[in-house]
Order: sequence, then C-alpha cells, then structure tokens
Amino acid sequence: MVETWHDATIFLTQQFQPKTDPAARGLAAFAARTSYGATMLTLTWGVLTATGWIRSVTGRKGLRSTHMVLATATIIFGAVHALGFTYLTVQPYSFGYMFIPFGSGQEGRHIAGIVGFEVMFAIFLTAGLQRFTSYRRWLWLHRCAYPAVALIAIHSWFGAIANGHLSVTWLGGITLLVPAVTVSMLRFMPARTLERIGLVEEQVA
Amino acid sequence: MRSASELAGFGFEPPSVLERTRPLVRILFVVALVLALLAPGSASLAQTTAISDTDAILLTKVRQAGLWEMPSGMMAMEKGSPIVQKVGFAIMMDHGRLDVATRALSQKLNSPVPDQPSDEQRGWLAEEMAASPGPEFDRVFANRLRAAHGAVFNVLAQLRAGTRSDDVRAFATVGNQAVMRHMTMLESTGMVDYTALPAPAVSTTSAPVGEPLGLDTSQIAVVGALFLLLGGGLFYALRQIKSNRGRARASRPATARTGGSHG
Repeated sequence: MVETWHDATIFLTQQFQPKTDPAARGLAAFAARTSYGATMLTLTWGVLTATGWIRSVTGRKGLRSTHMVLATATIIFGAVHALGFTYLTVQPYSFGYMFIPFGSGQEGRHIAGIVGFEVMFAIFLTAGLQRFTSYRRWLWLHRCAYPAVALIAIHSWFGAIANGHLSVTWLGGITLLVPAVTVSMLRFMPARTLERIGLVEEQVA
Repeated sequence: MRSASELAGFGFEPPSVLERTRPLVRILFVVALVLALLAPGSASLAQTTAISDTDAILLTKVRQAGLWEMPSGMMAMEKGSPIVQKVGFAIMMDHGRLDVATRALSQKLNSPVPDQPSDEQRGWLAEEMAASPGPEFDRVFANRLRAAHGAVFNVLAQLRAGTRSDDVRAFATVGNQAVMRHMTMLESTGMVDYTALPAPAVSTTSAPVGEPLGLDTSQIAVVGALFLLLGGGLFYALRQIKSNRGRARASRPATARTGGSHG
C-alpha cells in the first residue's frame, strides 16, 4: 500500500478534482480584474466629465459616452464575477450569499463588494431617470458612486491578498487606482484651492 | 501702419510648432520618468528569490498533509457519520487542489517533495482504518486531523509571515486559508477534544509594522512613490491641458469655470 501513495494521490486528485471549477474561478478572476479596471476608469471619466478639465481634448459628448460605456462594463463584469462563484461544483456560493449583504457567515471583504456593486447597480439603473425625479435627488444618488468605488477597491485588494494574487496584480491595481483617487480628491477640493493650482479659471464677472 | 515685424515685437506672433508641442513633450517626459522609476520598484516588489530550506519544509509539510488527509477523507466518506462524510469530502477535494499547486510549485522551484506520508501519518491512517465505522471513527478522524492541521497551520503562518519568495508567499496564503477552513469544518463536527491539543506557544513581542502583508519598509516606500508619481503626473497633465485651453481663450472674457455641477 505504501508504494502506491503517490499513485493514489494522483488518482484522487484527477478523479475527484472538478473539471469545471478552475474554468469558473479563472473566468471570475478575469471578470473581477476587468470590472476593477472599468470601475476606476468610470470614476475618473465621471469626474472629468463633471469638471470639464479635458473637455478641450475629447469634447463633452465623448467624455460622457466613454463614462457610460465604462460604467456598463463595470456592471456587466462585476455581475459575471459574482455569478461565476455560483457555478462552482465544490463549495459554491448561493445567490443569497452573493447578493444579500450582512448575512450570517459572510466575510467582511465580500460584504464590501456586495454593497459596492449594488450601489453601483442602483446608480446604473437610475442614470436615465433624471427627468423623472428632482435633480438634487438624482445627484445625491449619483454621488454615492464615490463610497461605492471605495468599497469595491477594498473588496478587490483584500480579495487579491486572500487569494495570493497580490504579487501579480499590485502594479496594475495601483496604476488604475491612483488616477481615480487623484481626480476624486481634486473634485472635492475647494474652488479657491483649485483656482490657485491652476485647474479652475479665474472668476471675473 | 505697422509692419509684420513690428507686430511680432508686440507679441502678436502665432505660437511656433515648438511652443505648441512643448506641453506634450513635458507630459511625455513625466510619463517616461514615471516608467523609469517604476522599473526598479517593480523588480523589488515582484522579485522571486531562490527557495530556502524553510520554504522547502513548507512544500514538504503541505504535500505530506495531502498524502494522508486525502485517503482519510476517502475513508470518512465510507465510514463516517453524515456530517463527517461531508467534512471528509470537502477536505479531500481541497487537498486535491492544494496538491496540484504544491507539485506545480515544487517543479517550478526545483524543490523535490516526498511521495509518501511520514511514519507518524501512516500510523494515524492505520488507526483510522482500525476504528469501527460510526462514532469511533468520527472521533479518531476529527481529533487526528484537527491536531495535524494545527501543526501545519503553525508552519504555514510562520512561512507566510517571513518567506522571501513571492511564489511561496502566495502559496502559503492559499494553504493557510485552506487549513483554517479545514480546522473550522472539523470543529463543526463537535467531536474535537480541545484539551488534547498541544498548548499554544505565543511570542509576547509585538509584530513590526507591515508584517501581516509581508511587506517591508522599502516596499511600502515604493508604493508611496508610485502614488506620488502617478498622481503627480496626472495632475501635471491636467494642468497642462487646462492651461492650453486657457491660452486659447485668452482673447475671450473669462467666466466662472468651476466645473460642472454633477457627478
């Protein structure tokens, strides 16, 4: 029996290893990374659309269209990422776990991702409903994207750490995170400070 | 009437090609600088050193854990109560995945791993084989596996905290989570005798900053520098674009441009 340990291990590994799980996990990881990138770029483009800082390069229409395309990609790839885990054959996550936050046994990083995704989804659904509600109410909801993106970033970074992928993804992750953080910080700076640093033109009349 | 040369003297001359492309050249220079500074940082963060003796021990421990726990899980599916069957199956599957990762890493790092469990582990397997199906097997299974997982958990935690190899660090992270999951599942059977487990030995000295992520000070500095360079580069680019537009509008009266009111 002792001589066959190695063969037995190989046999067990090959026989009982679900063939579809690596594919589902790989797809979920790919969707997660794509969604993370789209999320950061959506926020960056959103701020640039709102402020008009690069309007002279692209035009407002181009900025707005790109913002919407990126937001759509964020939602689609985010949903694919979540749904991928329901297709696992070993220890799959249920729909309830995936989409209802603060359930029993949920990890903190998962709760952050679920809440972030659902807030983004609410913004996505209401993006075209501006004319049916007051502008201030619509704007209030749209600005919830800032904390939602922060939650998604927390979910992504802790996910990469937990899965041991940080050494692979850190450079791309930071490269995409920094523009979003930078423009968000600039967005919330007082107008006088922005004027002083040359991002806002002087008010004359 | 003034000549063209006189008008040029008053600053009405259109900007030359060189002047118009200057902002672009500056932006490209900043981008090139960022990339140049990133290269060594990337190397220092993502470097993979040769496998050390302690890293080799980790691969050996995880491999041998799989070599006896997979057959244990198989036995649990045949001899255990329903809950133990479920736990045994999950442990077997997890170790199957972990074993694939272990062999792949051992091949990559050229560090051979054993093909057989240790004598002690074979003894535990014999004990499980001798136990009669039902509560006796459940008790042996839960306690033997829980004690073994506790020992591997210690090794994984130490290696995860201190290894110099990126590959081993990633592997230890995955292994650590798997072992933690298994201990929780084994404890959920309600058959673990905690008094029989070895007493914990904990250092009373505080851990240095950054250790939980396996990052040292220089790596944190690289990440900080990256933030400054990328953020600064973006800010510089935005200012250049804005100032270009400002120059283009210089002839028109300025109005309040605090940006749009939404988003």
